[in-house]
Formats: sequence, C-alpha cells, structure tokens
Amino acid sequence: MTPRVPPEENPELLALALGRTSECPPLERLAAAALGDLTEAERAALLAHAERCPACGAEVALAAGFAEPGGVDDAEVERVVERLRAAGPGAGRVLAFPAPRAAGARSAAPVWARWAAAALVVLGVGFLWQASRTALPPEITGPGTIDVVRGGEIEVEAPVGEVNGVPGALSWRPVAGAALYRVELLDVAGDPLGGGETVATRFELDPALAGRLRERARYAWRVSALDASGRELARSAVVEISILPVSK
Amino acid sequence: MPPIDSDRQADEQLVRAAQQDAAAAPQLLDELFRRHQRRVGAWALRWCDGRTEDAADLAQEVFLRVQEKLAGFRFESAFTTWLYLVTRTVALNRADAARRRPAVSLEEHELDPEDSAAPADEVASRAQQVALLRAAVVAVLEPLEARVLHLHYTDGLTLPAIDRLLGLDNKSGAKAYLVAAKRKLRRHFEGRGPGARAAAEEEA
Ligand SMILES: [Zn+2]
Repeated sequence: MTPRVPPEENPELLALALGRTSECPPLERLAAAALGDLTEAERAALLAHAERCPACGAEVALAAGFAEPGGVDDAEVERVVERLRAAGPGAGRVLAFPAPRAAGARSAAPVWARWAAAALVVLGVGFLWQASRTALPPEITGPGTIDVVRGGEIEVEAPVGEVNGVPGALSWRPVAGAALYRVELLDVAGDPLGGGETVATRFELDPALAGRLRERARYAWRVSALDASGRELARSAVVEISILPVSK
Repeated sequence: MPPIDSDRQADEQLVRAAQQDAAAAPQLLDELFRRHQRRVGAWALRWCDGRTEDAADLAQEVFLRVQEKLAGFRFESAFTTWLYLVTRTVALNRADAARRRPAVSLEEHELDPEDSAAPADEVASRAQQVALLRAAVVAVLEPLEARVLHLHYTDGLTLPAIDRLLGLDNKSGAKAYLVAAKRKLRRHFEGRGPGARAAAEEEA
C-alpha cells in the first residue's frame, strides 16, 4: 500500500502538472519576447500566453533577468567575471569541439573547429573537456518550418534520420486531447534504452540518457499519447536516427 | 550593462568576422565574450544562489558551449537571445543531473520506477492526477505563485535561487508564495468533497 499523498504535496505530480504543454510556444520565441527581440504584436501574444501559463511565465521571467541585472551584488558579479578572464582568453578557456576528429577531416572542418582544436593543444584542458561532454544541450533552432515524419498517428519532428551529434531532445506534433506523452528511446535491436513522460511535445534527454548515445551509431525512438484516463490515444512510427560525429 | 538593441549589430559583426577569418577568430571571440561576461555571470550567480565558484563554473561551461555551437548561429535571433538559450540549457542540464540522483527523491511516498513499464492502471491514475492538478493550478493560483511552483518543482531550483531569479524582495520570498499556493490547492481539493479528492489521490 502506498500512503495517500495529496496531489499538492506530490513533487513528481507538481513537476508534470506545472510543465510545458502542447499549447506552449517554443522556448526560443518566449526568450526573444522577454529580451525585446520581436515586434510588439508578436511579443504581446506570447506574453499573454505566459501570463496564464506557469511554465511559460517562469521562462519569460528567467529570460528577462538576463537583460536586467539585479538580485546579485555587483562585486560578486565582478568576481565571477574575473575568474572567467583569469582562466584564459575569451570564455575563460578556449576549448575544442567535444568529438576528437580524424586527421584527414581537419581541412574540411569549419573555422571554429580549426582554431579551437589548435587551442586545445596549447591549453590542455582535459577536465573541462570531460565536463562539457556530460551534459549536451538540445539543438537550438531558429524559427522556420520543421519537417515531420508521418506514418504513425503522431507526427514526429526531430531528430529524424542523420543528425549531427547526440540530440538533446526529441519533439513531435501535439495530439488533441493528450494529457501525457510517453517517450521511449531504443537501441538498434529495438531494446529500450530509456525514456520518460512529459506533458509537453518535447522530451529533453537527461545527461545520463544522452550519455549512453554514441556517435556513428543508430538508434530509434517513438512516442505515444495518453488521455487523462491513461488510455493510449495515438502513437508515432518508430523513428530511426543515425548520429554523425559533431564535425560537419 | 548597455541595452540589448544597441548591441545587436556589434555582436553580429563580430560573429560574422570571426566566421570568415580563422586567424582572427580567437581575438574576435574574446571581444564578443567580454561584451557578455557580466550578463552571463550575473544570471549564473542568481541561478546558483550567490555561490561564486558554482556561478563561474556554469558561466565557463556556457561560453564553451557557445564556442562549439557558434558556427551554427544563423542570425535568426539576436545573439543575446541565442546566448541566453545556451545559458538556460546548460543551467537546466546541470540541475537535472544533480536532481536525478536517487538520494534527492521523495522520502514519504514511492516514485514510479525509472523505466516506462508501469502498469496501465497506474499510468491512468497519474495522467488523471496531472490533468486535475493542472486545472486546479490555473483555476486558483496567482501567476506568480504558479511560476514559483514551476521553478521549484519542474526546474528543481532552490527557493533562495528563485528569490534572486525573480527578484522577490518580500519578507519570506519564494517560500511565502509556495506556502500560499499549496494552501490554496489544498482548500480547492478539499472543497470538492471526498470523492473528488480521492480521484485526485493515489489509488494504490
Ligand atoms: Zn505555456
């Protein structure tokens, strides 16, 4: 018997109930609205949604804090900046791309790859290289249309097919009436690697799960939509992805 | 800190120049990063509740990520917006990594197992609970209360960090909003009678 816990005292339920939903605008748009990077009309529509949505309201407030300093002491900020500068040029340390690349690929690598790879040799910052590998952020995409995979009942947005580097998140198109989506990541044999549930149409891979994915390997994923009673409303096709090394 | 609009063109010039000139790129990026170090540093400091070491670590990782991803920056948003999204992602990934340790999970009731093989009736019950709780949040909470709950439960932020990030300067800060929100939700569920309450609770 599980002891009865009121919903408002259940952190897992609260996390889901207060999360993003399929009606929420993309984070990129919310951040742009908060940082004054849109027209007035676009901004007004986004802020109206954020006013009544806990998740988007919080996103806008967090982003707005990026433009407006406050809540911290100037001298403390200065200490952080000093540490960044003391560590080396620019960011603090000039660092290579996370994936070691083949010698032959170097001439074809983008500008960044060339100078950053050279800088790695000079500075030798292995521990940071490790740290940066543990948590891959989702790809940040700009506005624009996104191709979808049809065939299942849920249309899948990304990742699909060949992708550069380990993806940070999986996304799909909303299903009417869905209360919860269940996501599953599979290995090439179709065995589950992990997954989870979300109320949003996007599932961010946590570092532990992302850390199990390798470059130059193939995986698959699928998503199913559940209604408020837990009945399965729809499911996507099993979508294959091939992870290419980060260098293009 | 200068306003973002007036800086946008200068940022873009630096990014384009660095993309076109490999030899000059380190120096150009150095300038670009210096323009934004205070912004990232201050936000990181708030996220880390004033811990300078952690904030510097976070900020450092942000600029590393920016370096890796900048070749893919397509000038579709202001650089500052893009930089914020990188900062947020790095911060949330760190919070997630810390939170997913079993030791941090709930003490007084069970979580479903990590895998997605929970029995169908448990899933049904949870989906229903989520829907009811969300409806209650929208119905009875003030926007700021709901935001505090989101930051604490969904994003895993501590209450002092939320105070700083939202600039709350009332006496007990985020904690006051959290307590008020839970009280309102409790009354809401209690007011709907034992039947409604039971439906919103664990059925195991
Ligand atoms: Zn929303």
